[in-house]
Amino acid sequence: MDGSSSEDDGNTRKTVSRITKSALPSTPSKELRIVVEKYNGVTPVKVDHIESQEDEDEEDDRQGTDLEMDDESQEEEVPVEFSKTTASVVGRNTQMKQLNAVIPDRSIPSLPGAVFLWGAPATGKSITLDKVLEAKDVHVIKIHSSEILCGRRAFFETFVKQLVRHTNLTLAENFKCDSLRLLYTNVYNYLCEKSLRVVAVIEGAESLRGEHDDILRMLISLQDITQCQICTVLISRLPPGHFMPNILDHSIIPVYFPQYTMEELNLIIVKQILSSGSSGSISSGSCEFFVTMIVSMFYYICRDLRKLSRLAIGHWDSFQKMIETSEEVNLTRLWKKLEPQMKAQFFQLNSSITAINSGSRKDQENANKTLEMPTNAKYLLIASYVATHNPPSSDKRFFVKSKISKVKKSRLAVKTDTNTKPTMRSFELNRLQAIFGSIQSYCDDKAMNKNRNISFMTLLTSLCQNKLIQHLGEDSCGNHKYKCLLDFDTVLEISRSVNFELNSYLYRLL
Amino acid sequence: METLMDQVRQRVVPIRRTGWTKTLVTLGYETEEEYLKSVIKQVVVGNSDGVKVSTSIMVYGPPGCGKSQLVDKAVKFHEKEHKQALDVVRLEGVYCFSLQDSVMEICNQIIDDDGAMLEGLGQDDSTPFDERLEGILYYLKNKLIETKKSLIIIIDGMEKFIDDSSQRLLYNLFDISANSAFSVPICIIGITTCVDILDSFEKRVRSRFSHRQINLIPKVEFPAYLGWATELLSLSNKKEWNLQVQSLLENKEVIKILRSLYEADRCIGQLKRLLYTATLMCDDTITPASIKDAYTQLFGMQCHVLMALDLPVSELVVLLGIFKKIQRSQQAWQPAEVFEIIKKPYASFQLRKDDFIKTIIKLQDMEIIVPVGGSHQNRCVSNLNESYYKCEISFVEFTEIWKTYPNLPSFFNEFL
Repeated sequence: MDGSSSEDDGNTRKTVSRITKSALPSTPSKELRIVVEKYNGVTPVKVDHIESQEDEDEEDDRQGTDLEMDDESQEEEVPVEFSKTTASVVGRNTQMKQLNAVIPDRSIPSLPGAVFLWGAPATGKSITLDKVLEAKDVHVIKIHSSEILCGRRAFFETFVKQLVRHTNLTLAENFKCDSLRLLYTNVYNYLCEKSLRVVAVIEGAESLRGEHDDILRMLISLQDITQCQICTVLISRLPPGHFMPNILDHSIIPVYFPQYTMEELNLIIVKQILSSGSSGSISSGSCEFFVTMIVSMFYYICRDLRKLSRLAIGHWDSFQKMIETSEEVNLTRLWKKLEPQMKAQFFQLNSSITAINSGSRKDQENANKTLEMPTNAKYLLIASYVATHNPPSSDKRFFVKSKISKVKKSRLAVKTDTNTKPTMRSFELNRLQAIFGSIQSYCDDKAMNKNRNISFMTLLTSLCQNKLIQHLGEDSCGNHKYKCLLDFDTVLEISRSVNFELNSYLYRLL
Repeated sequence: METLMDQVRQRVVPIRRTGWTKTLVTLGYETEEEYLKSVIKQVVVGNSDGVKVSTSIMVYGPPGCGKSQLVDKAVKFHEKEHKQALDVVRLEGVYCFSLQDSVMEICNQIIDDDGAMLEGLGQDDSTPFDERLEGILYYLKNKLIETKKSLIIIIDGMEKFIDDSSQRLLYNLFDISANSAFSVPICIIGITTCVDILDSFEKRVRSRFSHRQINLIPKVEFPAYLGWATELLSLSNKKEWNLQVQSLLENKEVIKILRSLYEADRCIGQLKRLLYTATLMCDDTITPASIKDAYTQLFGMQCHVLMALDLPVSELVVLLGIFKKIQRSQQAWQPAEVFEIIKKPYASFQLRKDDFIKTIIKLQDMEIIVPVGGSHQNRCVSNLNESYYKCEISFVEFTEIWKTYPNLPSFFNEFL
């Protein structure tokens, strides 16, 4: 909808900026940039995050074509990058100054070994660094750590290829770089021959931790071991203490990027709207008013520049139309009209970021899915939930007479201990079977349903496969242990659909 | 244009081995240096009888105390005098910790001009490395005998060489050096931060290093430490600047900061890092405030507090719930329990449980809360509610957050 217009504007601006950049001979870095996508492809949540943005961005899956390094693949359309074309970075003066000092001019040989930029997502880390690097006479290697998913060899080779592209050298036919040693040898050779000054930027460096610690270590100490002018910049959203308690390197310089303040957010978004050129005849004052209203409305809930700016850009057109068409002069009243729509969209936007386990529509779907299960599967789920959340000793009370319609609360109430923490236990197969049997007979009696021949194990296996029940393995006696993974609300929903009073069968609710 | 500050930065930039060409500060390792020189001399020139003996030595020390610099100085000293008589090979633990890598690296460094020969031996991948190893080592041996030079092998980051395959390299090197048939004196200098490294080696390797060790501990008194700082910051022939530095280092605040750094870590590396970070913050003079800022940035940063201050209020409410929860009991908790605590204030933001779950996921991504008990392996729609978490923020940090967060809503006080 509104996204299409802003996207077009974005593209044109990008092309313009690229032309100006390529006109400057001293900044070849942009031409060789590898795709930097602002996402971590590790957690499912983040993948959803990307998908949710795809309607606006033309981000497609470029991971495979990274090595080609086409010109087309340089565009970045993540909303936060909009301000790349603006002259200076709002609110990042201290950081800019520090980075400027870290990367001095060519004549001064004081490049530190490693710099560590950290801060919440969308706080201008990359853009500030880019701004600084643009003005300097250095070669930039830029690589996103998620490229490690293509394999270590691809990662190393991309690194070397980016380095070599800056020079006139060409790689040998049988160029191969699959170990840290070869990476070192290659880097060392090219750096020595050309006496280059290189800044290697690793984005999203936190996903290199763990399995690829050795690469991180190597990259950090690249200057030490080559004794050449190379500096590694790590960009991460985690603080240095979390990031590498075991890689406490003495040459690493941390630079912190705090979240934007409300005023800074206002400034940035107004700039984005104005630079997109769609403001038409409307004065910038009303634009400022509009943005200020949005930011102050949602500031308590969300400080993410990406979400706020998308919301503002998406609604700017309709607000403009309202100003033009209606007679109303008071902007506040106009705003009031737009507010409910905006709120609805915000919550939708907010929810779509992590579509997993959220969004009312999703929940319903989820509920429907569980409700569409065969009745026996529902019984089994209820049984497993009860087995997981009740201590085995209480089974007797609830199920010993399978046809009990009233739980004898009076007798049990003596023992209630309201402060006990609800605990989850694993249960054995035969216990589950027993509870299942009693629930089944109880409910079926109610429903006058006498069909009881089921294959218990098949049902259980399929539920395990759907991750509704977890198989925990065997204990020392050879009994299989299970655990229910559903939460209370879902099970309550299920039990309602089969007329089972779950609440009176839970030990913790007694 | 090289400004004054740029010159200072050049002096304090924290990179290793800045002492290769000129030494800025005397670290007080003269005895150790003499000893190391004499050890190397045995290999390069010969002992009192004029016989060149193979030997090995281990250099310990905390990071940033000048180990590499010491070794480099000693080796450079001999390299200058006996250029023809020795070859230096440097192995770095960060990239050549497997046998294959280290052997190839040695070949690379010794036979750099003989590329064709090396290609035939090493770069051919069709045969497995273990089969080629013998040939390569044989070739290496012959090459060494041919050159008639002593070989000095510096292994930096020795702690990376403790696995089996790397120890095989060391055996092979000892083999070459111990065999009297070829007269190739080899000196292996191991550099490490790990003081109990010898225990991880096998007996045969251990015995080689056990008799010669240098343990570098910065034995500097605080006045001398201040002297280092002065020396690092001063520029020759800039009197005005040097006076400024003098007055800066006489400032009480600065002395206090340097004192606390000195108590924590006496190595020169850390001091350089502090001074460098301070120079980044100012253009023409270093102020006491900038040193203080630098100290905060490097060592005194309460990362959790900073991260929490970046959160919007609605997410801070979740943190409040977690705080109340762990205040009651220190056990691991489930998101649902936290939600019960903050249900009311959370609803005032017009947010529902979905948003709460989202915040939990966000906090987990920020590593403020961590799932326990392996429950994260099974992360899916239904079990996020059932998995247990623990919080990484300490109570002190929580107090700091409630104190410093600007415009905290009033209901926070009710809860606290």
